[in-house]
Amino acid sequence: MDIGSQVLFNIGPVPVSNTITTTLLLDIFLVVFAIVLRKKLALIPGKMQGIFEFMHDFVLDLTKGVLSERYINAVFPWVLSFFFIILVSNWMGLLPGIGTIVINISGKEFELFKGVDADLNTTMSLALISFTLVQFFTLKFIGASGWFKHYFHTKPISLIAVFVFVGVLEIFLDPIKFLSLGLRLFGNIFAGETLVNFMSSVPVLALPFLLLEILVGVVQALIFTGLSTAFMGMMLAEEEQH
Amino acid sequence: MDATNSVQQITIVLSSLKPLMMAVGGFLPAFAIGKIGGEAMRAIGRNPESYSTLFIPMILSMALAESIAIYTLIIIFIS
Repeated sequence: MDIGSQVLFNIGPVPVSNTITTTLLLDIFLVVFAIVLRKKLALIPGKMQGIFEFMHDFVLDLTKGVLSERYINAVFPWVLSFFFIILVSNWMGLLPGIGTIVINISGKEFELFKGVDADLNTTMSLALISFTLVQFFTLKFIGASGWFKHYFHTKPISLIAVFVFVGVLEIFLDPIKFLSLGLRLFGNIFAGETLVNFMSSVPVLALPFLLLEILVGVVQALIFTGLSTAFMGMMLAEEEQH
Repeated sequence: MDATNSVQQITIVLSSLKPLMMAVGGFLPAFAIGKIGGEAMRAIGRNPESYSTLFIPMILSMALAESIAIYTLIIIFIS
């Protein structure tokens, strides 16, 4: 049972794995979708625009519940991008060609395409991007003093030792929250793929698991997006409190 | 030599206990998910209009609780 992605070939010194080929497919799909959607924008929406607007409003409601109005214009494009990319890449792993087209390289068989989020590198990169975004937006909107005050409270000055300890602990725990984000997405999608692979030896048994995987794809995209937004909202929300 | 032999034996025994590890690691998350669902059901029963308000936080809480079981699954797959 292979955990990671397998390297298919090397372009110069750069290894190309089967996750990267699927990511290329994903990129082509996303760019074509964006171009076609932009050309067909109308006041009375067609089907594609209707579906996308539904997704847009849903994620906007989710974001508005967590962030205050000032920050939404800057943060929301990233949030919607996270949701859309994770949703499409989860669902793309269920398509008929992905994971089943097998090519032979030097005697061993490799899958040509593989679900993108079934690779720990992808989900950890997404979590790293989310972490960088939270720090960047904190520094941009509140500044370094706000960042400092979020971790180290200073109100009752007599408890300064406790506050220093708690502050250091919270700075240390902050990347771990994003680590768990990446691990959660990877674990769910990888477990689903392995399950479908096992069950597809009897093809009828694979059908309920494929349907479950569709649901899990949506839920995990929602979880990742909602948690990233919630972390951002927690960092940016201290001006109304105290 | 005797030490490495016993370490190998322990590793072999432990790796055959992987289903047991998964069951132990999945017990409390399953219990937590059931409790979350139960409390949500009780709240919906008390106030049926709150379904749309409660649905998304319930899904989020369930996925957060399930992630602990996912950690156990990953450890079993990797080792």
